[in-house]
Amino acid sequence: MFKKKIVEFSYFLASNEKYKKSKGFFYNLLENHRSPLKRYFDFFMIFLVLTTVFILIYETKNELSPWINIYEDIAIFIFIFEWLVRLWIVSDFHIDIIENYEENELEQKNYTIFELTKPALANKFKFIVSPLSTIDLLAILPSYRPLRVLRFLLIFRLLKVFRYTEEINYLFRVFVEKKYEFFTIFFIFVFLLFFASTTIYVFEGNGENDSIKNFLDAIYWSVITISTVGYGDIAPVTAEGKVVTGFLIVTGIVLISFVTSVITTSMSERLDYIKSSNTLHKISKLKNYVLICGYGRVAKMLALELSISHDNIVIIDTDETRVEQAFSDGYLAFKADAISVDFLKEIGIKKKVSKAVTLVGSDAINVSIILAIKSINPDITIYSRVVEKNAKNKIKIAGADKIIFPYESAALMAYEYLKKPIAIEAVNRVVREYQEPVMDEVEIYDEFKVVGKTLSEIGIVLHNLKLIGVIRGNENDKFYFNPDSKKFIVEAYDTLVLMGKSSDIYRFKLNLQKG
Amino acid sequence: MIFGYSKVAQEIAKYLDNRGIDFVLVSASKSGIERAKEDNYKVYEIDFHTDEDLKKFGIGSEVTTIFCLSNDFNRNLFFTLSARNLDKNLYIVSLVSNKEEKDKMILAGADKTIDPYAIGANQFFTLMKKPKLFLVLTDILYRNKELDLDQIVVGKDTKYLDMPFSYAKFEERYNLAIIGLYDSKRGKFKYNIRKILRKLKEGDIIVVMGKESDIKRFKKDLL
Repeated sequence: MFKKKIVEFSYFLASNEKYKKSKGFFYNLLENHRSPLKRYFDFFMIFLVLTTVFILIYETKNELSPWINIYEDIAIFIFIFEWLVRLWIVSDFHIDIIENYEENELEQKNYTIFELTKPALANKFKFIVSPLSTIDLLAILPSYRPLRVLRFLLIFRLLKVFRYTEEINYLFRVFVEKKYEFFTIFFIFVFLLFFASTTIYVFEGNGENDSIKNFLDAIYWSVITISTVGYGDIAPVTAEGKVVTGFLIVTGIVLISFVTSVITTSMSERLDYIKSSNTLHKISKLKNYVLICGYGRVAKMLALELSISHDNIVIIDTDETRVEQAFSDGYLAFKADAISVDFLKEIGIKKKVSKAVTLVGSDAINVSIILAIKSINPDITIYSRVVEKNAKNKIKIAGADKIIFPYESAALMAYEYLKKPIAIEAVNRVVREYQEPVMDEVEIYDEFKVVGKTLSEIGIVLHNLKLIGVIRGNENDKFYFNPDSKKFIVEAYDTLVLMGKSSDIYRFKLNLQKG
Repeated sequence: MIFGYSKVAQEIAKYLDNRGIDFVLVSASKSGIERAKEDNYKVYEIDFHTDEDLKKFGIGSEVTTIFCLSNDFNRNLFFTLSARNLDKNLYIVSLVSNKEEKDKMILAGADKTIDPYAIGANQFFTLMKKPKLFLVLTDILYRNKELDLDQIVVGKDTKYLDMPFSYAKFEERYNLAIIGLYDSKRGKFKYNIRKILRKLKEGDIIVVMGKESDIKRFKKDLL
């Protein structure tokens, strides 16, 4: 009966949207690194921890006012509440029950309540005994009056700070990642300690050295010596003892430098990771961006132009120094392989990217990148550069929508410059928008009221604009140069090529929309 | 004359060749010479350090235009400087790869610099922002036989001399789109957005877009 009620209640929870939503809210607040809510919560909790630890220090020699006691009680209440919420969100109790129930029913087993809830309880228990939960409990339990003697444990509350600072957490993971190295070092350390302590105890523990009265003194001496601290309160007196000391000092130095090198190398690896996780976090906040693969000279200038026109850019390169360069130029950049589909998915190109540019100095790599991007989202428009002219076709087959061969463009321009330098310069400037006026395209949509009117009726001259021509979308982008404005009728999907001040063009666009 | 055989040089050689324009290909690097030979061009080795060698290939006499397109910036710079020294009227276009190099090259005497990376970046940018305009313009500039962009110098005998620019109504008369007017004396370019009331002077340059036949007619009347 009771079993049935539990299962029914589990199904009820699983179907309840409100329950799901509120759990999602707390998940975002406490666990979701990409949620802005978590940041605020983390800051608040760090503040709470630090103030309560400060109170602990103050309390050692001073009387606390009742207000401060209330403050501490509130803090404890929040800590308890936080721990309970974490216990709640760490796993889905009801889903675990439903899964177990359905499995048991399928196999037509007989089961007790305990058997039904066992997997669900196990998940919760796993959380309770986890290191982070232990820290949480240590921060709460000593506040309970009968456990007042354990008050010094409150200092463990400081450890809670790590829970809220992701970056420090990452660094601490160094110890977990390099556990085999550290285990080896620890084993050597213990072995050396035992060896040195026994030797010194055998040679000097028998009354030769007044400072070594028991084996604990010998161990203490070993630790002080091997760590190269060397207080000097216990010093060897026999020749044998001095030899052991010498040996221990040398091995101590080797051991310490080994530990240092393991920590520093893995820390710096971690720092890279932190950097990219920060970038990932920033990308998660972007709604859309232009992806640039490769950060060479073309990419550098393109990125500059795009950033001037307020486009969001994300840069990927496999070369460390180029990524550093992109970083210092102020862009979001990753050291990564753009061929990796998993990585491209992780940075959200499926939803956030509509334009990607491949500018790597190798056609083969550009082809791989294009294929990787298209495999994730075929709708992304890909602009690619060609390094060797005969690779143009392959880049096209791979799926690039627009291809540019910079050397050819440069050659064409050099040649045109020869004949008409002023004309080329004049057109280049208006198109590049480095200064006013500009040349721009204005699209006419179906719902615009100007559709059906002649060019002279839609206010081009009124806005101080000059019409160069019309690109007719309905006729496969045919270009009508300088059409007769009194006769030419505007159609939907026309694109007007206009020259004028950018503010005038903007106003004209606005009027088109308003009709 | 084309100096050097970089990728840009390779493209320009092909371009000139296709249009039947005569050019001399010179290079100071063995690899450049070999690559040019592979592409079936007649190429001469040049010692660009000596003025005698430059003169021997016609700089200061027959050569009117030089493309300094070697892959080595310093060579291009030295070549530009030496050539300018030999002939003040030469038209020199040189290859650069950034702003600093561009400034140096202009100081050395180049009339125009070509930065393939900047041009590439620019094209990507225009292609992304104004894709249709980009296609129309490249078509007019490089491909379309009918439409053209041109600059026309105002001659001394034209009937339009001393006429305020906008009153001449060139656009209607010749069916052209006038991009702007270059005042040669002051070195200023004015875009044709609002009325330009400046009187046309000899030597002014009008930048126009239009059908080749219309431009030709316009050119004739401006002589």
